[in-house]
Amino acid sequence: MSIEILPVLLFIVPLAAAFALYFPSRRGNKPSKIFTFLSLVANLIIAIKLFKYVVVSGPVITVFSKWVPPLGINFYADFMAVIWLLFGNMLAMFALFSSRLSYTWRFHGLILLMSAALNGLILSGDIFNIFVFFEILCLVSFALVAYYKRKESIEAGIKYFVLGSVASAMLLIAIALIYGKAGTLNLAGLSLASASWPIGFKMLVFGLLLIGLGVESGIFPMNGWLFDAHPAAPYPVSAMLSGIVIESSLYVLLRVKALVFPEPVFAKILLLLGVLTFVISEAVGFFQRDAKRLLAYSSAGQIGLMLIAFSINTTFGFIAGLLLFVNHLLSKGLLFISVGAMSDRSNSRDLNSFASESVFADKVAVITGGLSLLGVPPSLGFVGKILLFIGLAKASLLGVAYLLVPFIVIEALYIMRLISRVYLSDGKGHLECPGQLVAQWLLSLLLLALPSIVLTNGQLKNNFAKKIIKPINARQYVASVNGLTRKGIDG
Amino acid sequence: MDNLAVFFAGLTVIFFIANAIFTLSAGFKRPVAMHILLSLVLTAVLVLLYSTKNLIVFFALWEVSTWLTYFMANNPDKSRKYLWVSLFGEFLMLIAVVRTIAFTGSMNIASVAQLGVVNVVMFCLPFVVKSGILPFNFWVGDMYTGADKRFVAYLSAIIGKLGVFGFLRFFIETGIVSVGLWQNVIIYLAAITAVWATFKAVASEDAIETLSFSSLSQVSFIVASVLLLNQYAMLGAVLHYLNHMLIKTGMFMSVVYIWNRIGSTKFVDMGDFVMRMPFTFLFFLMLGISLAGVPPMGGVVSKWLMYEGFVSQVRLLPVLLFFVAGVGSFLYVYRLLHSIFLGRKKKSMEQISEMNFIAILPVAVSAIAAFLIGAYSKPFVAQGSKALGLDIDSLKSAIGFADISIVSIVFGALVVFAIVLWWLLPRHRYVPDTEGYTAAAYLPEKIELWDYSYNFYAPVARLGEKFVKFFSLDWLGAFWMEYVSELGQVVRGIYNGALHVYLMYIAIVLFLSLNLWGIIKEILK
Repeated sequence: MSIEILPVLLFIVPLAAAFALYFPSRRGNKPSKIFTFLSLVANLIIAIKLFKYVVVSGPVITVFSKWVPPLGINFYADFMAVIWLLFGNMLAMFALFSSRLSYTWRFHGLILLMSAALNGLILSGDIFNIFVFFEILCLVSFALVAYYKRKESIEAGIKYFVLGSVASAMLLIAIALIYGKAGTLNLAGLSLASASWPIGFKMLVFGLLLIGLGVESGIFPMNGWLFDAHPAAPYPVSAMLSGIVIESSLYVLLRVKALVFPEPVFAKILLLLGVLTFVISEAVGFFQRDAKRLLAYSSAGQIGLMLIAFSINTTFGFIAGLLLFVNHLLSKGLLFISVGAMSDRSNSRDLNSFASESVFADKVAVITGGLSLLGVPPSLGFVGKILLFIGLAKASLLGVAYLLVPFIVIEALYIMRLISRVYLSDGKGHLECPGQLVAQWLLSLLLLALPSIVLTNGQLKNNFAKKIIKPINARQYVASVNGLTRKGIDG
Repeated sequence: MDNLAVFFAGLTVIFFIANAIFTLSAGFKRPVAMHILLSLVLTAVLVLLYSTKNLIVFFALWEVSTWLTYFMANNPDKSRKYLWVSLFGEFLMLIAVVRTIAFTGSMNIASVAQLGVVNVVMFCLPFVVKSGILPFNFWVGDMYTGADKRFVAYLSAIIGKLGVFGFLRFFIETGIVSVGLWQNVIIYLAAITAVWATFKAVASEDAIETLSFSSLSQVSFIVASVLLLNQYAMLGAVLHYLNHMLIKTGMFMSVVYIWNRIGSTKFVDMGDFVMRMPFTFLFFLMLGISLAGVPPMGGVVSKWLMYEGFVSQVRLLPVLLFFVAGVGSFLYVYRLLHSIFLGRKKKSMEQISEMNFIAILPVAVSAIAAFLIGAYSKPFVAQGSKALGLDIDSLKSAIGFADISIVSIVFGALVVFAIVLWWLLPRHRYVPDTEGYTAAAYLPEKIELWDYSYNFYAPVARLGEKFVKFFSLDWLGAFWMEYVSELGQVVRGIYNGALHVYLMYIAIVLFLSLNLWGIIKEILK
């Protein structure tokens, strides 16, 4: 099997499984869940294979039906993409595994579609396909947020839908403008063409793209939907929304920014938005009394931190961004699964009562997840924050670091409020789904083990140093896709 | 591991063993396994912290120790202040660490000083915070009284004095020898803190609280002595670290043992326990004498050295303030002895019995060690100067020579004389509660209304009332809370849940992006 097929499989497998779900779903929720779980495991195995290949041999480009770019469409998987794919698919698997048995085939089908859309979005090499996957992702997310059909869920779903639709419209306008100017939608082609665009035009397109992708990625001030959607959604969906959905939009934004908008002014705008997102989300999060909403604010804050890390344009910043992403994905996934499960059991999301039905695994999970999220040594978050600060110092942006400090402390305070409610509870709740327990333990173990794997694995370190260092390597991307184009023309 | 690390690590490990022995044998009602495990982890973290000179490792271990302390205190509401102020200090330390690594390329603590005084102050801020020196004194009371009682000895003996180690490590690595403005500021703040804490300790109605403020007062003195960068003061600081560790180990253990029996640490619930626990009283007395700095116990050696340092540098105002604090320590030591072991007999007396042999062992060892430091100080002085890399082997300096052993002999003779007098003179007799009252009066239920162990030092407390109130910084906290909550209301209003408002935000971003280039061009003009 050629390695080029793997990115396609990542998209095709969950998509096909979503349709094939019809057969197991007729036998009830359990076969439906098992089938979905197996599809997601298959997806994870493919992602691991792709990850291993990319770490050792460099980016993989898949061209569809031998129509080489710019005529055809392509998938592109470099190191950053495979990190997103690997952990995204991992989280999807864990989230589904922890889900309640009462969730029907609708839920499972939507999760599969979401997984397909996420993988497509991350892999896509041209901006129109990005739009298509983005639309699928948005529609699936709206439906999942409103899954419970309660007033609150439907309201959150509608808010999300309206804001998401506006965002899609802006994205489409931006794409139309880009196509009118450049005549291509391939990112590599755009990267070459955009060098000659006037800065005013670039600014306009960037603004539209920022709205288009910023709403979904939870960037201030466009993230109003997030704080209603996260609490209202079923907890596996909250975990996925917070852990990978908003981050994948961020990923697309960063990729487009690196390829098409390399000017420093755009990085500065993102930096400013990152700081604002972090500061305001943490400040508001401090006053929350709803456990899941509190986590949602923390998610937005972490997105701000990632945005800062990726937009300072240094190697340290880039690695910090990756580590913060992985740390946030795992720890927030774990926190949402545990807190969501607890609040489902106690039928309350209030900070004072949500933990009344906790079990021992919840305590372990919330302490591990919470402390990793806060970056207590030796978690990945700690390494990420140190590298972020070093990156800021190297980029002469220490002022930003000073600004972040009080809000990092604020985040610690409110997350500790959440943690303390759980660890002081009596821990004698009744567990309804063993999957939760397994998912919690495995994610906790992963969180505890990852820092030592990352910090001590020599091969990973070497590859980091040699290949991965260049932030979203624009030149490499263009060169490799261009090589294909040349080959297509010659051949 | 250098000598400094060996000294501190040794003391911490010894303390851990003593604390574990006490915790396991004192008959606590709640399970102790988790507590011992966390103490073990904390001790390991501290030993690593003492050994490292790498900035990142130092920072990481320092932060881990904060979190472990927070979890061991096991009272999120009461230790919240401790957590946030510690984290705030630590993130400023992180910025100093990061600056040092980014601009000097070195990961050694010695390089911190290369980037100027601001970097140094940011790096040292967590040391000041952990020591509880003004303006970071507000976490101390809540943290000690709210913490798990089995943990307060650890908190006072080791954690509360981590700042001392931090400063020593910093000065020894960087080789700074001059006392700059920032050190002077901290010295004066420490002196004020010592007086403040003494007043708090004197006015307190709770044994744990009294001991905790006493710790703060002593730690302030130690930190100020380190910052003076005088060799006698520094040696005194290291010795007082040891003394204070012994004193607080024994005293807190005794009080915690009593708490475990009677369920209270209030002075009004205690009294006359000497009848039931004479050995504990004896050790407590010895440690109290050491705390007050009276011969022949160890406190006098270290205090003498610290005063020596201050006087030889002609720092008279701090000396005066520390002296006031020292006099205050007589008051609260007497209060502790009187209210717990002497005084009126209380109902709780029935629940009290002497500690078992194993539980009293750490207390006894502390008291005997405190005595040894005073009576035969030479090896301890030698160890202290070895840890600091100094060349002092006796208590001789330019100002004078303190021969504690002679003082001890004189003191011992006086004690013998007192015992003889006590033997010869007529004994006191117990006065029943009812005797001092007229026939019609009966005692109110609320013991605070008539028992003299309540509000024991009312005049002294009144004397320092305004001073204590001002430096408690409650007014600052109230101001900030008001400010923060008002700001919070404004910030919360950003996400008010209304869809049209969220759409308006998008419209604003759209407007900005349509006009952004024009705006930037205007600004650039």
